[in-house]
Amino acid sequence: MKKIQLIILIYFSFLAGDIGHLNSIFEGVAGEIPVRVIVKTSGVVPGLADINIRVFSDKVHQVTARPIYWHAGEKGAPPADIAHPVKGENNLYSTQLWLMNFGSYNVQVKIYSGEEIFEVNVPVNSLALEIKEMESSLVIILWLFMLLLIFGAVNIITISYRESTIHPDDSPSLDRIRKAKFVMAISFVLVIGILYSGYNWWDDVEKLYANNLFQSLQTEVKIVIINNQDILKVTITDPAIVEGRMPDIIPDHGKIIHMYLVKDDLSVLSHIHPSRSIKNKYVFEVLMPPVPKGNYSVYMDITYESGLTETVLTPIEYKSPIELMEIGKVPIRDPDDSWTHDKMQHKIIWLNKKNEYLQEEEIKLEFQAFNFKKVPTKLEPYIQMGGHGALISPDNNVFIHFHPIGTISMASQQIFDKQQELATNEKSGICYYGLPIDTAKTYSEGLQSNIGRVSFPPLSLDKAGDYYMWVQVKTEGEVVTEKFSFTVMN
Amino acid sequence: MTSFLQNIKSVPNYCILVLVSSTAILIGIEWDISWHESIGRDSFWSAPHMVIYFGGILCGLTCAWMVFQQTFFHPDKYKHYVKFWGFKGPLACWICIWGMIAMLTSAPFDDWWHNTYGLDVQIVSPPHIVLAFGIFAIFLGSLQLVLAERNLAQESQKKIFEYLYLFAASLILIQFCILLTEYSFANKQHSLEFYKLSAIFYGFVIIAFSEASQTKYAATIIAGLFMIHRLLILWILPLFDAEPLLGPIYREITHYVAPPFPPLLIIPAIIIDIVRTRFTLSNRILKAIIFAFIFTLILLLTQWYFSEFLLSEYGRNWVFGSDRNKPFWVPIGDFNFEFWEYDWTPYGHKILMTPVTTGNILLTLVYSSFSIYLALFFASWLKRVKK
Repeated sequence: MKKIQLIILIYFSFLAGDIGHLNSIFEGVAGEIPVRVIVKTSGVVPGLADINIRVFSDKVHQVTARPIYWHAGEKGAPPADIAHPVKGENNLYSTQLWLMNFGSYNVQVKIYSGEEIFEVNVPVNSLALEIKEMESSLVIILWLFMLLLIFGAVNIITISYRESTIHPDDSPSLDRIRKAKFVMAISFVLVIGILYSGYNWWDDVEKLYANNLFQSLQTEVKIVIINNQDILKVTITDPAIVEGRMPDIIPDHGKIIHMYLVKDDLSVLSHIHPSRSIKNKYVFEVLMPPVPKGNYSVYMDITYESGLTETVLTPIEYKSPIELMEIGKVPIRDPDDSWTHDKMQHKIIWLNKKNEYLQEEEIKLEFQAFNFKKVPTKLEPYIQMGGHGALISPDNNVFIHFHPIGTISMASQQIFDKQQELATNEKSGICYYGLPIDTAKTYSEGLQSNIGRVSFPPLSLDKAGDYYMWVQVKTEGEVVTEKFSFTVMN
Repeated sequence: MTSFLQNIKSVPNYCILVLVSSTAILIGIEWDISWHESIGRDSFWSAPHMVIYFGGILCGLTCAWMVFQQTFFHPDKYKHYVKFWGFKGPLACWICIWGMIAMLTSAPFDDWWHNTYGLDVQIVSPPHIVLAFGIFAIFLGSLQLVLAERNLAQESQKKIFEYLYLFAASLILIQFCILLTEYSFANKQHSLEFYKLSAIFYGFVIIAFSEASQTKYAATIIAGLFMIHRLLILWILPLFDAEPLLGPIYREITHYVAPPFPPLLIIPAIIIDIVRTRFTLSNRILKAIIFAFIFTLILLLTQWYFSEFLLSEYGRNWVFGSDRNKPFWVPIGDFNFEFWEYDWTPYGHKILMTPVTTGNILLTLVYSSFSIYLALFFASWLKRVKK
């Protein structure tokens, strides 16, 4: 039973940032230097995060990284660590940073090029997400040591009683030897009792730790009818938010919530954006897209004022007829809402697609949009980005929402930019962080061969299985949604 | 003086080596704790760790050498040996070796613990207790090695072993003080937890080792050595520069953080020595109850007011160190110098501290009496130990 509870706990505890993916990825520019920063957190707090910084420049002579806790600011941050070049790699620097507290951190990356220092802030969640199992080899080692210690302790106590107080020239009496066996039994019980107390203590610590695992925001998601329209309604019920103990949520690239509605058979995806109700600040509503009835998973990406981000996953049944009727105003459909349909005028090609990848292998994500005549078409900004992507595993254990700038929340980055008094890169528009070899150039204004192209920083997955990915771009006024699939092998 | 030097020369090298090992381990731990509070980030090869490893390896090699000598090369090397799973060596060596194995066990366990539950910032955790058991065993083994020599020595040589024994006992008292650090902050000394744990553990150590001593004011000497050691650490550590390498940093740290001012154990120890020299208490139960009353009530009276002093402005100087014993992760606030009603677990859960009431103190006296009864029982064995 305990194990089942633990599994449930672990399952729900993954609902942070992305789901089942501990990497925070940023690709962009630090001043004039194009960079890609990947922060892999450990899933425990305090925990060690791996920082990998790739600079797309040969003029860099030093790279540093520094963890800044949102609550303490730069004043409360330790000195920066020097990221050392990775052997055998070109312009890749690496270091490890301790993230000591729960919550949002800013990994401040500084790049030294000549006399100039360029800086970029990468927001990272520091959360306790799981309780790791002990490896079987360690279990065996610890058991062997424990047995040695148990029998060693019992033997020491027995010998202490039997012969430690007699003169070295004398031998223990038969009566003493007999009683020593009784002492042995008693000491064995005593040692086992101490171990049992230790086990219970460990159990208590684990329960306390389990209580401290990141808990997803409590929400209620339902579909109601208002004025004959199907409305998806999200109510934040989490006491921590409602009672003001947690920072409020803030918009990320223009939307208060980014929501993916995915049909359980993975045949349908909608990318929609609920808006905050005028009547109740904890209620968010969105007009349901024209999707078929069925069971759906609702993924909601949320950014808090502290810079923390999370993805809340809720299952929902979209059935007919809807029994819940409410009186009110029908929310206006967000012009950026989009969904899969079979009347697309354009197509997206995954240029460097492989059907199978290995675990931890870099999955390169370069795409190009074409019209029905197979001619590349110029991209337009879609929700302030060159493109959007959602990667999902069929069991819902992995969900990654990514953009050309990576997986970080732009809103979180802006919070830290403001805190650090660093001018936020205001350069908006299409895919200004494009392909690695041409990072920081604007593709729409670039070479002819780059027309319609968008690239995202590579992802890597550590769980084997089938994955599905939807990529969205906007071209010639149409939001194109294309579905892809691939397998990650053991 | 000449006879004293001759007596020192008569002390076997292995006694000196195990005591040097124990001292190194203890100083390494005190330095390591201060390192965590001042610098934060460490590695397997950090300087305090090296001191601990040096102590552990020195003790392990000394005891292993004694066992191999006795078992394979010189069967008559040490008269006071016992057989242990076919090997021969003094019992103290086996206790030390057991301690070494426990210390070794704690290393992968602690590493896994950090990777699973996060880097701990508390002293009392299951892997640390495995380590503490190991260290305690090494200290106890060292003490017993000296004690067996004392019990077997000629009358003229007993004194030097007695001094070494009292020194070894003070190391054990210091270890308990380190283990109880988190319960002994001056801010917690108007709550029951400090007095309960102090009465049980300090009471046990002071009574057990002073009872087994042949010196008149043994409790005073043990507690005195303890105070001198802790005060030297308190005064010396902040002389060295240190800078936090982990964040968030909530206070300016430029030097090593000092440990809290030690509890004034010397005061109940003096009273216990006076009572012991004036009255003959042959009944073990009665003796335990009387000692428990003296120790607990004197400690309560002393620390209750002394903690108020420590939290006052008069405690904020290099002598008492109240203003320089907070780690970098503790925010600056009025609560730094107030008595706490609540404690916090490492995972952020609030715990109400137990108030000091007559009923609670009476219950503490019961625990303390039992602990001191066991201490007297233990002391009777220590007095007679010869192997």
